[in-house]
Amino acid sequence: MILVLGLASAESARIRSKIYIDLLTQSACFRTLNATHQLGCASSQSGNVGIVHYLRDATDFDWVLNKGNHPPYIVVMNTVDFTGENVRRLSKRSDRVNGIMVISLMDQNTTSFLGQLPPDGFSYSDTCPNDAYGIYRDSKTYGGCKKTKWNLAGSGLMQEDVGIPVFALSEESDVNKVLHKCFFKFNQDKRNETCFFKFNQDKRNETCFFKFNQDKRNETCFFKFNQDKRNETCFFKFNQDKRNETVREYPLCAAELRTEMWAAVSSDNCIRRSNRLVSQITDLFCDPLGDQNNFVTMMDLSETETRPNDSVIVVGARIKEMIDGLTQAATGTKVVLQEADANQPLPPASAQRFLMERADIPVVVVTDHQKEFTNKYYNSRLDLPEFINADYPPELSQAEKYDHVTEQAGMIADVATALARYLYKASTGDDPDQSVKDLLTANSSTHNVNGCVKSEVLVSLQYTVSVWQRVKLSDINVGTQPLYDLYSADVGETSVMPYPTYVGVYRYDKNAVASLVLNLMARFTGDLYDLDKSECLVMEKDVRYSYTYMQGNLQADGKGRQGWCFKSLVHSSNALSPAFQIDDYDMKSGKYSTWAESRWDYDSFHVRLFLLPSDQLQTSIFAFGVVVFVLSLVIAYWCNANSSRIFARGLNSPGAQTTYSPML
Amino acid sequence: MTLMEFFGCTFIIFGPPFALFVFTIAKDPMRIIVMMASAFFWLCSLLISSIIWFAVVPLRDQLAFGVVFSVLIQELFRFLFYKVLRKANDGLIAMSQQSTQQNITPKDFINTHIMAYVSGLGFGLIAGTFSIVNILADMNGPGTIGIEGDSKYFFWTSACLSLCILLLHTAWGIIFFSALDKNQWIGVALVVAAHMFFSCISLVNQQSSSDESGVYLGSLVPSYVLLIVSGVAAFHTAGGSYASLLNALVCRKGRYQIE
Repeated sequence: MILVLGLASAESARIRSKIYIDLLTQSACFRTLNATHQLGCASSQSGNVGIVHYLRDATDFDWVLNKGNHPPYIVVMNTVDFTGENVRRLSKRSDRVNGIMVISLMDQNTTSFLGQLPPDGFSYSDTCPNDAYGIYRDSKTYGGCKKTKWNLAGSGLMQEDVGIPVFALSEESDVNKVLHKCFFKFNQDKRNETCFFKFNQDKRNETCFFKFNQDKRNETCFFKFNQDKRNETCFFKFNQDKRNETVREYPLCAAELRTEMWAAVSSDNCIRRSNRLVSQITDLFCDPLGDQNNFVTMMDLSETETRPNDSVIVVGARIKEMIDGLTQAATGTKVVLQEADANQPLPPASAQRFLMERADIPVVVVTDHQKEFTNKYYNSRLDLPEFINADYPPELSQAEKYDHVTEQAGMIADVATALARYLYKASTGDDPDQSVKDLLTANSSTHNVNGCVKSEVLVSLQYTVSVWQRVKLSDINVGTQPLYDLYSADVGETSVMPYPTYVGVYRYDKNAVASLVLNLMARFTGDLYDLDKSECLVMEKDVRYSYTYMQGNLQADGKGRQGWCFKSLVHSSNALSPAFQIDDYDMKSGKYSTWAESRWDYDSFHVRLFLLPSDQLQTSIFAFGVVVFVLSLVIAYWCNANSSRIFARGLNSPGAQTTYSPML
Repeated sequence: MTLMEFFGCTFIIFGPPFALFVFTIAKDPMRIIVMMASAFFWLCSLLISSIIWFAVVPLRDQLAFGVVFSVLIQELFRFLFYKVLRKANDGLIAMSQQSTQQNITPKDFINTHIMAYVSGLGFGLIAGTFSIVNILADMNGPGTIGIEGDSKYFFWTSACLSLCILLLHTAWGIIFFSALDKNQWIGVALVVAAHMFFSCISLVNQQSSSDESGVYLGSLVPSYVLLIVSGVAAFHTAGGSYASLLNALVCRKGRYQIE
């Protein structure tokens, strides 16, 4: 019987695969909660279904919102149209719009975005990030960013309950399925299209004109994937004048968007989470946990905890002296430090957390912006290396990239150098001489880590995550360093991808990416010690330094690994907000973060495409079924009632002929 | 969203057997037992078929291979069930006698066609159920077939074909049992041949696509022609004739006229 059931299920899978096309995408807008509100988006429990419609211009918006006669719709948007204004327009009409899919393709080799970007920038955060949790939250002069709007491109979508599910299509095959197996094949009203540009995928680097270009804003571009010649991608330009308003009828292609998330209470917010997955540089998002952690590590120890017998350097200074000292220390490096206007408020930064607790601490925040952020794509999925000067020239090979110092990495190294020299002077009172200055120069390999982590690892992780496949870990490199060597334990060459990249929520089992980043930092900033694994683990008890054990590189003979033990200043702490730990904590007090993010499993996001049948076909099948049913009832009753006459000849016993009736 | 399709197909496939069951079987416990037993025999045949399909690894992808062997095994089990039923005849008669004094043989066993019909329906019901139930399970929504270019008539065709095999099994049950009773091996051979013909013609359905929805007619029309032929043959085997059918119709008319 088990075999029979097995066969049955095999058959079932086949028919299902003829009805549904599943998409690979695993990136979707998620739910967040704070003490008072539920924000973000999720689908209904059974999923949101709607007819797929690709929004190419204003006519399409009008079609979806007003004219179209097959609502609700699931709309497909280009990234350039995915703005706060448009999303609100669509989500307000939840009777007609049931979900959004955004085409968001990136070049896998250069990490640059394919297609047009919103020219005015795009950010999920609002124009005044973190205002409600910072030092100015009750201030009449500075609150609500009255002086300076930091994030001009902020759409505030992160702080809204969007109400309908939003998915990003970051796979070429997904876009192909949605547009060409679904929309253009079944739903598109006939239009005149002309292919105005073709390019070869192998040579993408050469054709960057389609990237964010203000002049070409008025042209509607999108991708067409030629199925016969996979290499060719064609950009279409719609001829607006020659539209032919033929409306397609059922069967129409529909999509179902389904997300399964649940609120995770033990979380401190949306920190470090963006569609860029993990940021080593903690972006501020909602209420940043990093601030809390930084602060907590510097608070007084409780009486039960023992204080390690270390010498502590206390730096006392006034702000003016600090700024002068820093500016002076920066001479000789490429950075030029300038003092901000005196009435300029602090930008959203961890420092605000410190000042909220102790207003007497002198604080200097070093930023690259006087007023608004220089990055127009702050905290969004478009927050790409190229917009923060962390990208590599495209012609570099992997090994050359390793040695290349990106502009951003160089800046950070220079700031770090200036800071180190200033601290030297502030603590010793002496100007550092040349030999000390050389010592206090940021190591090139360290600032490379920054660049590496920001682009290389994350991008490779990102793609393995989004591609949703088994990848050989040994194939991923950071520059010349195989990532696999950095694991603390042997995780198997073909560990299941994608990585659990979810770092926002505290979990008892350590997040793989978090520990990988930790190991990566230790590998590039620490010193290698000749200790075996057990010795290294014992050394971890030293509170000042952390000793990190990694499995190390393969031996020359290809068998076994020589483990590494790195001594470094890399530490980690758990992301737990005291708000969830303190009994009777007043959630509305705003003292600690109450942000909670939703949690989900790897298979919690489902997008599938299918056809919806015409009413006519459905009704006719139903009517036919009812007719067959009623007719068979009548015939069976009649035959049974008259069986003795109809089958008169078939009765063997002559006596039975008159008395037989099956009804007896 | 595709609920109408779902119920439509459910009515098509299960409507006729439901009607037959309610009016001809449900009131007689002995018939229910025989029907269930015959359905069980069909399940056993499916088990053996699937073991063979599973064991012969190189031919797993060849639908035709599985179909041919499955047909032969189903007919083998029909034969086995016939043997069992005839062996159990006396016991069943004894069981259905309401008291020890009663010596009247129940009508079901005097007219051997009745049990043949009941076991045929049991065979057909389980065969039809197995051929449609997976499709029904996937049909309930939200999508319908066609995005990969398959014909939109797939569900409808599947339901009609399942109904066809269900009724065919019923007819074949009558012909097959009667032929064995009379030792007419030609009847048995004809049933096996008809079953083989039906199953092989259904392989044509693989060729279907939305552009050529007509392909389904290629299997549906011969199948239903076969059903009519088998039905008429079974009708005659069971003792019916055109004259008796007319007689029944006229009789009813007459009765109404008197009223």
